[in-house]
Amino acid sequence: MNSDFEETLEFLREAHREPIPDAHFAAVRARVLAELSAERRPWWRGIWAYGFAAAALTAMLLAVFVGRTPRSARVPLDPHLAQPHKPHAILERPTGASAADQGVRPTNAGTRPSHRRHTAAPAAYRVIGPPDPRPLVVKLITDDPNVVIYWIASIKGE
Amino acid sequence: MAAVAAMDGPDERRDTIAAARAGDLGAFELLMRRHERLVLATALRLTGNMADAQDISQEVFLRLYKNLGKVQAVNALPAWLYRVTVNACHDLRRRRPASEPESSACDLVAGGMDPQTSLTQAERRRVLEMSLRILPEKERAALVLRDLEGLSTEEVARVLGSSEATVRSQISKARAKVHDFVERYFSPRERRRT
Repeated sequence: MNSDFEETLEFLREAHREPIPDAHFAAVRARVLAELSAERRPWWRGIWAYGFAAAALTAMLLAVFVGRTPRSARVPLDPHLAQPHKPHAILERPTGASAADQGVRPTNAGTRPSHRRHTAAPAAYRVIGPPDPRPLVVKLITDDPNVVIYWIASIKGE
Repeated sequence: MAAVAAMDGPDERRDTIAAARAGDLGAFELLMRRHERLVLATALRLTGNMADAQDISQEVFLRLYKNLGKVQAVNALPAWLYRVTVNACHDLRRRRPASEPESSACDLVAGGMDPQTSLTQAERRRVLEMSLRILPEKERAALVLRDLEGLSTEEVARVLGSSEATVRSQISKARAKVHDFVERYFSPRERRRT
């Protein structure tokens, strides 16, 4: 029995004496070193990715919210609220009283619109701005050359 | 390999361990090269397959790196590695029981051809591997360390944390079981007749 067992044991030893291929050792070494390298990497090495992501998010939010037209600008404003202080417009507005009564020298400023101011203002203000003080004159020509009809429309007061 | 040869002296080994402890990965790689056969071969004999043995080797070397400060004497390192390897194999077995059913020698004979004609080296090896696999963990570890790794009974006892008497008993039982397994495999007809 002993000799049989010695034979078995010797064969067991022989079987396990076969060399293990180097590739298996190399694989273990590579796995261990890779894990150790990953553990030793400083924490701030990877933080640039988070910083980049935060910067990109901030830029995106700025583009969305800052680039948008404010709601107040999208709704046409009441011209009186939009331009609460317009001393020149009030002065230029015709009152129907004489220049002497108004205490100012009569000028053509009241009848001549200031194109500079209107062209500079936004379209919404031009549409609903103060009424043009000049009377509207419509000339109607009839078949009879002796008859010409003038239609004069004037605005009085507000 | 030349670098490994260069660290054969005790002073060089001590310096290498000190450098690895200081964080030198190159020095730690030298340590691994020095002891990788011990760890991988033991794990392979205990687990029976290369994938598990590689997983265990990786775990053992990672534990070594974390515990380099505890390894004081250079000569104590192999015993420490054996102990950690055996424990890692036990842990693996508990976490992941062997997937292959542990067949008996008679089952192998019944499912195969006539043992007398298939007595090839490969088959004998397969039977021996199977005989190791049927052993309880402690007995298998004792047999592998004593008979295959060539450690003394005292060293095996130190690695396994048992007394020498216990180890002698475990080795004796393991040898008897392996022998019985092989005997039953190669002469089942005679056994069945008796």
